[in-house]
Amino acid sequence: MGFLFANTPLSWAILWAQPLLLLAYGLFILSLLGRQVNALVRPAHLIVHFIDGLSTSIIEASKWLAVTMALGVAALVVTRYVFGVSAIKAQESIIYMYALLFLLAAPATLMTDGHVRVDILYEKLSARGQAIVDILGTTFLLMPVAILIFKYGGAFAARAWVFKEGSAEASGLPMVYLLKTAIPVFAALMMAQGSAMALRAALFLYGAPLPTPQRIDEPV
Amino acid sequence: MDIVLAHLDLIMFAVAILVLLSGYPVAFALAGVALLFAGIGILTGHFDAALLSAFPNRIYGGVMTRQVMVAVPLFVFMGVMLERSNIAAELLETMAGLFGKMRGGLGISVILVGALLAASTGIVGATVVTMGLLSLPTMLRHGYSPSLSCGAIAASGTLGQIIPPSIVLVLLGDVISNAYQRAQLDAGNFAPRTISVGDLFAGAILPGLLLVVLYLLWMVGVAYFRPDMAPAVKSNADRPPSLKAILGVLLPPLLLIFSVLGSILGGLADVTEAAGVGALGALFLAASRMSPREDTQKPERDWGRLIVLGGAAAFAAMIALAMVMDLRLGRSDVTLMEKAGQGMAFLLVIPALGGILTALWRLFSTKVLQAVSRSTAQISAMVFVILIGATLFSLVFRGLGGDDSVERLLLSGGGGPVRAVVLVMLVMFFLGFFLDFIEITFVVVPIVGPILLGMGIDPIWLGVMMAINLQTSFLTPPFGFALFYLRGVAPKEVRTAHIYRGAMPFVVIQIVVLALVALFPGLATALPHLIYG
Repeated sequence: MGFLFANTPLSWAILWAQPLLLLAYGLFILSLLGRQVNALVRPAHLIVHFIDGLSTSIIEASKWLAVTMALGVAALVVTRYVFGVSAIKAQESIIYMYALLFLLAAPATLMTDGHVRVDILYEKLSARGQAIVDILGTTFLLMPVAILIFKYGGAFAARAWVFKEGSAEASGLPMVYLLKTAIPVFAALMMAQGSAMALRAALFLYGAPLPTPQRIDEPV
Repeated sequence: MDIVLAHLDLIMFAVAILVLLSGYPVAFALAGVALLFAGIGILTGHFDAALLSAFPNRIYGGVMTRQVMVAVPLFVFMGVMLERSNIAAELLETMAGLFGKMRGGLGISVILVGALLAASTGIVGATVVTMGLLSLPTMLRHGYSPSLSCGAIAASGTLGQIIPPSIVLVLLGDVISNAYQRAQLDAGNFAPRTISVGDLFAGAILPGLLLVVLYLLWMVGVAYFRPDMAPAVKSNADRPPSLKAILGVLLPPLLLIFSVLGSILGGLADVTEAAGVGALGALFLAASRMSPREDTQKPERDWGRLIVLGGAAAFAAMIALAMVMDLRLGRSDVTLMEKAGQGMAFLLVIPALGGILTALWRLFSTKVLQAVSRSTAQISAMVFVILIGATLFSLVFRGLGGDDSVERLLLSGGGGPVRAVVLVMLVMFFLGFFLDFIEITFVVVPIVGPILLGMGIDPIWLGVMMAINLQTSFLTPPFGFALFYLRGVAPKEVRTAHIYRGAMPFVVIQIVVLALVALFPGLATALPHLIYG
């Protein structure tokens, strides 16, 4: 595992050209050649399904941080303003909730296309054109950035683990090293969901039926 | 070749715009282009690779633990919760009943409701879409001209950016505050003055209200000179709403806005705390408006609703009690009166908790809580992943010497601060055609902010100018964001040309206000100085 965090061209290449992205390109190229190799479709489906399921479970669990945050801040206002009591641990826990809320929701947001696009031209493209933008963008924009965050963030978190870094405040939460670990975890999840995005686009270009997106409950 | 390498920073900016136009999600487009140019820079010796290893630390310190940003998910939660509580529909209905009988009255209600909604939700897309769905069909049915209707809806929908508490003002305020400190440190001032998000909130109030007043005047003027465009609603026999009905609909959102804004401006709470109180208030408000099971027979009295309202009242009573007497625990010199007060406050905790639990249960069992939390999580992820991408972009842009290039561009050719501000405003206006407020705030302001503020420009004035400028950009045909949102929900018979034509007068109003704030900076700076000294 350790060599994946090393900053060598080889480790970059291994993380970049990983099997999932290669599979997406396999389907992409086959679709260009007009060849049918249906043995590839089923594994691609399973992978996309698994990654979508993972991202969905994560946001379904972590979305509650939004509620606990709101209630937590309101409670802190009462304890501080009314009773004059404040606890640094409680204040820091709000920051932890805030950071985890958006980091853990990011993969599912990618899955449901919730990250803003500049759609002046994109919406005029054919579905095929949009799929090609998604494959190329994931390969050359999302993946390199996620790998950068994964590697450098991993090293960053590892340094915090060495001495179990805690809060700068004496009475703060002793868990800064865990919060910092969320950075490479976020990057790894984005790499996975990015691969799923590329695979889904490749399956579309290949003409295979698309994996049904994970049901995120519609707002009432 | 050398000339290309010497201008890697500006080329990166241009390439970023091209790549953004491909339609790949903005956050990764920005970061990906930055990483590509960092790579080119490293290979040609124009970029220090060590800078990239600072990136995780920037993510940690500049995004994950940035204190003020905690307010953003809380405001989003508040806004989404209010949006789901149908408050807009009721507000509009009541207002239309109140003003509908006069010429232009429906249009006036739309602008007023838009302003109220904007102030309480602060999410532009949401306000435009809600208003478009609710009021556009009504206005058309009553014979309003499509262009006037569309203009009023799009314009009042964008008010969410400028009327505090607004999410974009939180983001802009924090970025400007950082830029201000940087500018002073660069100037060798190691005890820099600071500005806060609260300052920007205070600064935006007068210009925001001025916009509302001018919108209303335009509506009244059109109704007076062209009654055919904004006719009175035909009397359909129902009486205007009773005072009780008006207060019942108007009071809750007004109370929410005033408690959030008041606690910030009054110095009682910081922005995050006020946002938390606002989120709790929205929770109470939404829970009091929906019964847990629609299908069951309505009981004589909705006890759950009373418990929720009681909880809200208990919460407010606790705060009010703390305002009149010192309830702080752990002091030695507590008077008997204060002891009684403390006991009272402790007792109030029980109904407050009861109200919160009941509210949570009601919203949970109708699945509203789940939907609102999920939306909050996704919108927050969208905002902060862009911030992460923009952080890498700025890091690389600086590393390639972009700061100096921009400074040279802004300072060259004489003209001083005026020319620099006009230049920046024009660039932001055009960027506003295809980038959202968030991206522009995170990418452009950190780069130009320190330079402009280094020229001695007032940070609050600059922030308010930027906010109005971007709001104008979102309203300007043919690329304005608000117009796209409205197009998305407008009925088929409304032509895009109607939307464009209707928006134009409001764009003119925006430009007038922008000019007024430029000429009379006091419009933006007087209130913050009055409040904060």
